[in-house]
Amino acid sequence: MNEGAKPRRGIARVVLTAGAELWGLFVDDGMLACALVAWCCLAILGLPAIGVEPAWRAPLLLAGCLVTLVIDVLATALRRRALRGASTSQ
Amino acid sequence: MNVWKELGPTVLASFLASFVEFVEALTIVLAVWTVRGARSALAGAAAGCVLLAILVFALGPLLRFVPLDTLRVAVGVLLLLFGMRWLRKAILRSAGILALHDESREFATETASLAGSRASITLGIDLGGAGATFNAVVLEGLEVVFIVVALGATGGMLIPASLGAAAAGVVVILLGFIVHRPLARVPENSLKFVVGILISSFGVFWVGEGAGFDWVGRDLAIIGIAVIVLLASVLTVPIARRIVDPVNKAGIPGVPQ
Repeated sequence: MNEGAKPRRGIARVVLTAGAELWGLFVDDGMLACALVAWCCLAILGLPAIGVEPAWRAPLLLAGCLVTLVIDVLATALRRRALRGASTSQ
Repeated sequence: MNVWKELGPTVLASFLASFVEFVEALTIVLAVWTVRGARSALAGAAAGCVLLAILVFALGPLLRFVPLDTLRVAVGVLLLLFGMRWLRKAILRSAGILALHDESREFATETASLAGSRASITLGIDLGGAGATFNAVVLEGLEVVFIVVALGATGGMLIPASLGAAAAGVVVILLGFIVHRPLARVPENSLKFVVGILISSFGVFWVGEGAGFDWVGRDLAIIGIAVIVLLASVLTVPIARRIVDPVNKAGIPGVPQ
């Protein structure tokens, strides 16, 4: 049983490493990735459902993605400032 | 002129994105070449290329079975995640929040790591060195494959996207042979800034196309989207810089290396 478990653990490790590498291709900051996916889903399903004019759907999709990026970058900057403030006050 | 308008953004995005990936792979290959010799470095790189080719030929045809609109949304979301990840990093680096990527330091670290480990020679090839170049080529190559397939498959632009990536590969290999050291002078953050903008623009465009949204100007909308993404990103840099360093008011917009 133990002999069979070793190769299985080896394969699992390779699969996990490959999965982590693949994940890292697209996701650096989990919050940004989740927010972008959520906005895309919301825009695709929600904008037509609430009756947004067809001409406005594409610009709103773009605007939402940009707002998401800008908020994420500024939140990272604020976190960095808070960290610096904490380290200088110690 | 019209042909360039249609193909230009795809070829340029593919060339620049692949260029950055090839430069990163070249750094590892050169480090192995320096410490463990050309044979080990090239054997690992060649094995990596073979694995990538097998992946492309095995998985590529499966894309034909996915409905076009679903494919466009899926590829669009992946391009968006990929591009925004690069763009976020490039903005944070330009704002001084993240450290710039340093190919020379990467080369020195890899060289020191290889020099400190024992060589295990089989058939004249050092397995550790070959493994390092194999990993580098597969990991960076996977990104190139994704970029080419994602940019090419959805809009019938597989050949222009492949040509862009191939041209980048040729340029990086030639530069690598000529200078025989890491391409540290490549303005990597500026390149990543541009690539992040282009890839994100393609991503938003394809998500919208797949969802059936109308873009003003059809395919040419990609250029307009890229300009808007560029403006938003460039304006975000000084704001982020001022948040982190309120004393330094020199928050000049731009994409410094």
